[in-house]
Amino acid sequence: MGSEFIERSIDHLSIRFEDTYHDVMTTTGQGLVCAIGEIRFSNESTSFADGVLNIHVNGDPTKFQISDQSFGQTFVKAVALSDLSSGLGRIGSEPQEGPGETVVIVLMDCNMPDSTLARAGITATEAVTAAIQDLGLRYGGVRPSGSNKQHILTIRNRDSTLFLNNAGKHSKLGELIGSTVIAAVKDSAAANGTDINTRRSIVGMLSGYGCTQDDLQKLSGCPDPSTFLVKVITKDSDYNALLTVSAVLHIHDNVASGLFPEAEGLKAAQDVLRAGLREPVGFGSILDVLFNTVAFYFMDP
Amino acid sequence: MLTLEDIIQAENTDDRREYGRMSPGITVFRQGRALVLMLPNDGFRVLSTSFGRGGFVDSPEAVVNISGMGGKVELQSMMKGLEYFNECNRLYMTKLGLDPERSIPFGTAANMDNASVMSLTSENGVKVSIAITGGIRHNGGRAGDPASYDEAGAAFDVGGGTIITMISIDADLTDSAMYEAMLIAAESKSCVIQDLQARSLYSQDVATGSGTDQVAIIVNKQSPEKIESLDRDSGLARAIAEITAKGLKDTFDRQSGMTLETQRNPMVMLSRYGMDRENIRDEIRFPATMDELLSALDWIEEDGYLAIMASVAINMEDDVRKGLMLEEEAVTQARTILEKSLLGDVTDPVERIRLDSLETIPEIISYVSALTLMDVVKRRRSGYGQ
Repeated sequence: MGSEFIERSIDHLSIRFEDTYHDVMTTTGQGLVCAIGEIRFSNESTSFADGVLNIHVNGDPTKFQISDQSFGQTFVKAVALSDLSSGLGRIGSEPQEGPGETVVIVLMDCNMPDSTLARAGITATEAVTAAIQDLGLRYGGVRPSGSNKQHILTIRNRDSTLFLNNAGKHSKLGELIGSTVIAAVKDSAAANGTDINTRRSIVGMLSGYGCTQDDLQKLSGCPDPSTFLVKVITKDSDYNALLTVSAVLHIHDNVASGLFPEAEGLKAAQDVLRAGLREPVGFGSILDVLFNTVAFYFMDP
Repeated sequence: MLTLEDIIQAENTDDRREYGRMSPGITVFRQGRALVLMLPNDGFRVLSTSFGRGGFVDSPEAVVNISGMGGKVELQSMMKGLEYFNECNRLYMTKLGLDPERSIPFGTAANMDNASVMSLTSENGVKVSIAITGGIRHNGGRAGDPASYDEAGAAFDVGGGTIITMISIDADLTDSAMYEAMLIAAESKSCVIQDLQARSLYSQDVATGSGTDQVAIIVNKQSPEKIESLDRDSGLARAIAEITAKGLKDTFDRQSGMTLETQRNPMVMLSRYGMDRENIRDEIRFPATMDELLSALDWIEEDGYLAIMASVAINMEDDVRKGLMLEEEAVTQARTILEKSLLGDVTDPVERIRLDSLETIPEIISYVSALTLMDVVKRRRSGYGQ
């Protein structure tokens, strides 16, 4: 945006504001901080003194990613550190264990009231959820909506002559917040090893539902792990199978949320498996049938 | 020309009546077009996204959610900009008997009789309450969707279909924790919308909210329960998420009849990709009467199994759009799954060649939907599937 300096090194990421007057609203413990001089992310403890906000991050500061976009006079830059390989959570539900985290900084090169600074955080939060939904991540069969350790910082430029009141999704400012945050979160998640290709594995998909390769081997009846591994390697990324497994998991997710009744969901899952993979195997829940069927699919000639 | 001010002057607002209670000691009134959260004393602090009196506010008298007037008057008032909107809200709050300098207003298209008001206690004993209104059928959006409103160059726009969430917490939260509470409520809202698979009107995705959602977090500064920071897996965070989810589901049902049951409809599912009854009827020249077709479409809309298969079909296209699959990889398998699950094996030579010629998943979905419709018509003629 031109009114801040971003410096990234092996042990920290720093955003400095020189000659311009910026305020930040943050969930990191400080609330609204006016006339911020620098925000520094590192593995050191969170603290605030002399206009410098130090924020602790678990992860590698070199994996912060930046996305910026503009429309007319409106400029937005999102800076994100997002490790989605663990520590996911669906808000209100038991989170996943692990050090994973998401930290998002939204730099808006415009002035705005405090209410809009807060509203920008809502749009950014929804964008984190959208990015995670796009990646199709799961833990313990749950669809995460964020990282369990997650912080949002929204920043305005008090010196800007552009004054905006709207940061909702219907506004251009909101659109830019949404699209830059989604891009920065996905880029940082990719730098930390999680992207859409993570899902291009049947075993990987099922692991999000608590089913491991060992579980599949046991269900398959194959006594030898190495023999089973060879079968998995051959078939794990077969796109016909991937599409089918994704479809059945989609049915399961929507049965779990109450959108679809379980009995109809099970019948549909069995029909999808029959049409797309093989004759379904096993009884019980959709996941029971899916895990058994996939295990047998791997062993099919 | 009739103005909003004229209408406010003419409105009868002498009908204040209790609508519910929120913790701690907040009385919720219905009055005129408003839902009034009357705070019992000066010991409250509010963080809100209100256009009229947003940000952090100490000792407000009330938080007020006001239904719009609708029609031409509302449209014209929006065209006059934010200052006019705020001025009308001040006028209306005066009419309600409130001090406009100490009241926090919100505006929405929803009717306040459809507000959901409820309370619960977190596992660590903090009471949390919500008053919420909303609908997203006409304004559902996903973060990052293309927006049409450039505030830098246009008049004020509050949009239609807004979720207004007002949460009170009987504890003394820091400003940072209040902001976290606001974002937790927003995230919980997105989870409810995902559960409902409610669509964005501005992209082919599931929505994460409405375009113009607003939130207020009300905390009790006099409470002995001091909360410095709000962990996302804490009991209070879970309580905020839970009450937001419960309240939102309830008010969606009241305001727009949107529930898990009404969303369980093949046409609702397919609408995410712009498919509707007209498109499907246009796919083939049906050898059927209009009555038969419309009756079959009605029957299809009630069929839970078809709703699931429609959802499966659009999930396949989602997988392509999100980059999990290339379209050329997915299209053959999508055709196979949808054909075998919905139609059995297609043997009619024309249907076969048409089905095999389709190159995208939405094309396949549309054509298979039309053949399914034809199949329903035939079965109903033969007396099966009445």
